[in-house]
Amino acid sequence: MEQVTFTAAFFGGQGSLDINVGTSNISLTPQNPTTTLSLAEGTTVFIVSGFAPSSDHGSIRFDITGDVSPTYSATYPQGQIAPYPVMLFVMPELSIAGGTPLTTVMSIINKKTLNQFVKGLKLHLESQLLQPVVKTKKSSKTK
Amino acid sequence: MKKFFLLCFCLLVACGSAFAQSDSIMKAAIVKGEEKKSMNRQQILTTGFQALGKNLTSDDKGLELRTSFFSLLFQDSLKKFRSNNYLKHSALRNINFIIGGGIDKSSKINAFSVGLSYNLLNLRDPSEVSLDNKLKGDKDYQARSRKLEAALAKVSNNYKDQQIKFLEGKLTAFAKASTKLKDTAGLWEKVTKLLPDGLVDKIWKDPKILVMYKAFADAVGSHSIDRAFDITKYLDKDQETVFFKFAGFLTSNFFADQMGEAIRTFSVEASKPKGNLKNTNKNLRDADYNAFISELNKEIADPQLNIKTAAEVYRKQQEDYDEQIRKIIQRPLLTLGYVYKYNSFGVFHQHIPSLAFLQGLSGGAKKPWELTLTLSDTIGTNLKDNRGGLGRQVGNIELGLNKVLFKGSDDVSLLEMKLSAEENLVLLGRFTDEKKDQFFCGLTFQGRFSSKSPWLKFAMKYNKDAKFLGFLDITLNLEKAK
Repeated sequence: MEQVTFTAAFFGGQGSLDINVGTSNISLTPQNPTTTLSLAEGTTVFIVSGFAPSSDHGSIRFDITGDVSPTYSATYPQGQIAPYPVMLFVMPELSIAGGTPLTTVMSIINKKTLNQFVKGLKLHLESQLLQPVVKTKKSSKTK
Repeated sequence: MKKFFLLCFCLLVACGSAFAQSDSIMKAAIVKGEEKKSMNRQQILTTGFQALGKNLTSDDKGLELRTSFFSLLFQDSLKKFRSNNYLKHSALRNINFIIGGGIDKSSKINAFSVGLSYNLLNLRDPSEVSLDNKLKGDKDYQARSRKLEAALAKVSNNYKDQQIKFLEGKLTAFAKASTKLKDTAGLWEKVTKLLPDGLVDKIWKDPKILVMYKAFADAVGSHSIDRAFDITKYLDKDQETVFFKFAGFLTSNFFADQMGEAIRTFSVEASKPKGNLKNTNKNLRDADYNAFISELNKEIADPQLNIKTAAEVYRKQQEDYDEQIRKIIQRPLLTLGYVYKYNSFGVFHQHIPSLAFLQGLSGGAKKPWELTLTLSDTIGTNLKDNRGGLGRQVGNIELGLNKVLFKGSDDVSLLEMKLSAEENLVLLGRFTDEKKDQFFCGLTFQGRFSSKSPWLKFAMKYNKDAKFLGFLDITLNLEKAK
């Protein structure tokens, strides 16, 4: 089972945000703005609905983080949040370089290093997976 | 008078700074809230920052700036508007600070005023009300909610299952072709061609996608495992499981997320009277979107609940919600105020305590009637004769009926009419030939071209002695979303 965290930041008064996941229902409020659920791996449907505080300054910022891909963020202006689906892939944390979690690596490296990492990975994939036919031709010519 | 300008400047800077901290979405929400109120309500208590030009066609013009104390709080907007902090400062939101000045016919400043007003009945503030609990008592609303959520869950699950099955089939076919060639030549290109064109660049922004692809490619091909990308959790599984998971991963990251956002847009548009229900997402095929909506409509149709389409349910839910809000903002409002006014002529110092009462008369009606009752007592002292005591006292009572005549498509009031009866009573310090009491009948029209434009107010008053009198005011809400 993987850990998925639901966080709602409420602005401008009373409000609520409900998330329906299969048989589980959670309700986030200004007094209880975050909850973590253990969910099975795979593509999961979340039905989101609720009420952003109905005042002049009302809004909600909602995030789904943890073992999901992609992570989800939404901002709702004041008023009713009509039900709609959010479909995310619940998955175990990926690790690289001998077991370091990928998200940990991404959180501690700066943008420049991240770009270098992606560039390196792209080159790696291209060299191993994209161009093997070309490589074979080149090597046969050499021979 | 220099102090007056200094105070106006400070007030403008303070309000400007407070709003400069807000992010654009929250700012838009704040402005929207103020725009939706009737002008009648905004004149008595504002939650934003308001400028009012008074009697613009007469020789005795005035300027008034009004704001709530909460708007003047110097706090980071994320902290300031956070619900717990916002609810804690309820009193500050209910106090208005007023500052004003008068200009005579030769454009010289001849008066200065400063004051406060406080909302004694905090019943109209929807921020204090949990709408969730309110609507839970409505059986029809709840039944439609359950139906809608169940239908959305079923259709969404069907959609993602079909999408995963389709992608899994494609990935398996690619793998079989690759196995025949004994390498993964062209595999990458084949996979990327499955994805929506507009989202292919997303691959290079999320290392997770690349790592997942690597797991898939390693399961397909005969490459040795590269320990730099340790994905043993996936490689331990059989090939079919890896394909299924990669198909699920691609579905969530490239298809289902787009469908989810498209349905969110649909839900918002369907809640409006004339919303655009067509697919506006370029990364989602119209055929997929239309099939989803069609299946949703079939799933939700219920003769018992009198439901035919999903759009109809969204609209009904929104109407119920709007009605609840209208009921709340029709509740009574009672403010107690005090204004000190300095005049450079006549009665120099004036102290004006006042009470204003507002009560909606139409429940949750879209274009409500409102009852207004204001009482004020202008107590003047004259510095010239150095008495210090009461020089003149004038009481005023006004009873009015305000009606919203026209609303815009975004449910904001655009035209209002007010009928009023007013009595002025000179209790002390009558001028020569001045009557002790004067009665006026009034008719006021106030309107604006859109929710973004200033309010124009034209008031006509009739008195049997003073004939017709006309006044033109202009009110501008200074917060604008950028």
